[in-house]
Amino acid sequence: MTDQEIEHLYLQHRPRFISWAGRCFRLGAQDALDLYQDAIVVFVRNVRVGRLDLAACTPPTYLFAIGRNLALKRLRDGKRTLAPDELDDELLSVPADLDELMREEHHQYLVRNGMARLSDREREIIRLYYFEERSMAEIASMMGYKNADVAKKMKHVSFQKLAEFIGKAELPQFA
Amino acid sequence: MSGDGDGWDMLEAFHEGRLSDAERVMLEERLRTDTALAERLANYRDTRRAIEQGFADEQVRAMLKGVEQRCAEDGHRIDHEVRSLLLEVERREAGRLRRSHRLRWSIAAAVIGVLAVGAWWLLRPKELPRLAAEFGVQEAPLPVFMSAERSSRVVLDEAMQAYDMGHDAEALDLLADLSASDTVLFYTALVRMRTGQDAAAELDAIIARPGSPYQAKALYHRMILAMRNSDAALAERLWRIQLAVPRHPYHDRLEELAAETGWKP
Repeated sequence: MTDQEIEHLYLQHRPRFISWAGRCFRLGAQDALDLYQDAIVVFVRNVRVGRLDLAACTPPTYLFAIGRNLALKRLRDGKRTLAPDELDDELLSVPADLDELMREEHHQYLVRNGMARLSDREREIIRLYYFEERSMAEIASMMGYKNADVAKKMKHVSFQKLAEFIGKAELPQFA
Repeated sequence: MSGDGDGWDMLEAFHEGRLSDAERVMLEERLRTDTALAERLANYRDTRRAIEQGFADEQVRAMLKGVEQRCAEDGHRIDHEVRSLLLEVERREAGRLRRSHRLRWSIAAAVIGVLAVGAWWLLRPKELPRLAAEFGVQEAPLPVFMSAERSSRVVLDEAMQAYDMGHDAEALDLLADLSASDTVLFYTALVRMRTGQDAAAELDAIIARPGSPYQAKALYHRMILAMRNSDAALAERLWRIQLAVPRHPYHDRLEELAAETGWKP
């Protein structure tokens, strides 16, 4: 999805989603907006990895389903104090891929936390290599390392720290 | 192959398809028999995917933040313009009531000035009601997403059904029973306009509320109302304000209207 498509989607369904989330989950305007942005992020992620079949279901249907799942997940995480009997029965009985979503969101949460614990330079080297797909030579030049080997070593150290923070301390290595 | 660096590099190179055929075959063979190694590769891939997704998510969040910021800035600017416009309309109506001798001369001078500009200026107000009928939009009723137990919601649903079926008197009665939310004001205005009544008060109330989800549509219908009343200056001003509304739902209609009226941004 291009940025333009995301912006169009975001603005198109924003009023209706916020009004719906406020009504169904008793959310304030800011909480409903946060929920909507989270739903858009998950929607875009799923479209980009080809997990959503947009020929089978319209974007707003997916968007509202994701929003519902995220809201229910937050309720279950105890981030909101809304009592379950305040919710519509229909909402709670909807079968949703909640476990899968929760697992993914939990993993993303661990990564976000791990990234936040890295130094700026460690985060940057990870971003340049794994997200921008820069070569080690480019990274060395951009970040002022002596050469590509030094940059590679730094990347390894940064990734290892991140993996430890995430809880996957065992980096791949041969015995 | 031993040590952190070598093994790690090898698996990363394998993941990125940078191994030679011989190295790849050898590693694939080991992965088939060494379950711990296969698990480490799976962990590496999971973490790497999560990192990539994390940065992609951050990028989307930053973009959405930018969109919100832009909308807020546009909203403030539009709010300011709308308030100025409403003040001007009030001033003009108050002035019309006073109608001093001097004002009549001023109006006469203005009319002469308008006459001098061109004949189409004279004809334009007469065409506006026709264009209002042509460009008027029949809004869809609100969909019902979830069941609700609150009675106000049930009344709103009934009002939407009445609106949808063209039972205007019933729709107005039902809407009148509800508190004056933006939704209620908006659909009340639509029914009133459909039945030839003045809906300026409802639409102006929505327009004056910052951040109302109905603001763009209210501006559009207020413009149609001004056109219906042959108030060319107000209609054109409202049209111009709407050009600054991002992702206006009736953007195409506004452009078509400009082609008909000759209005310039």
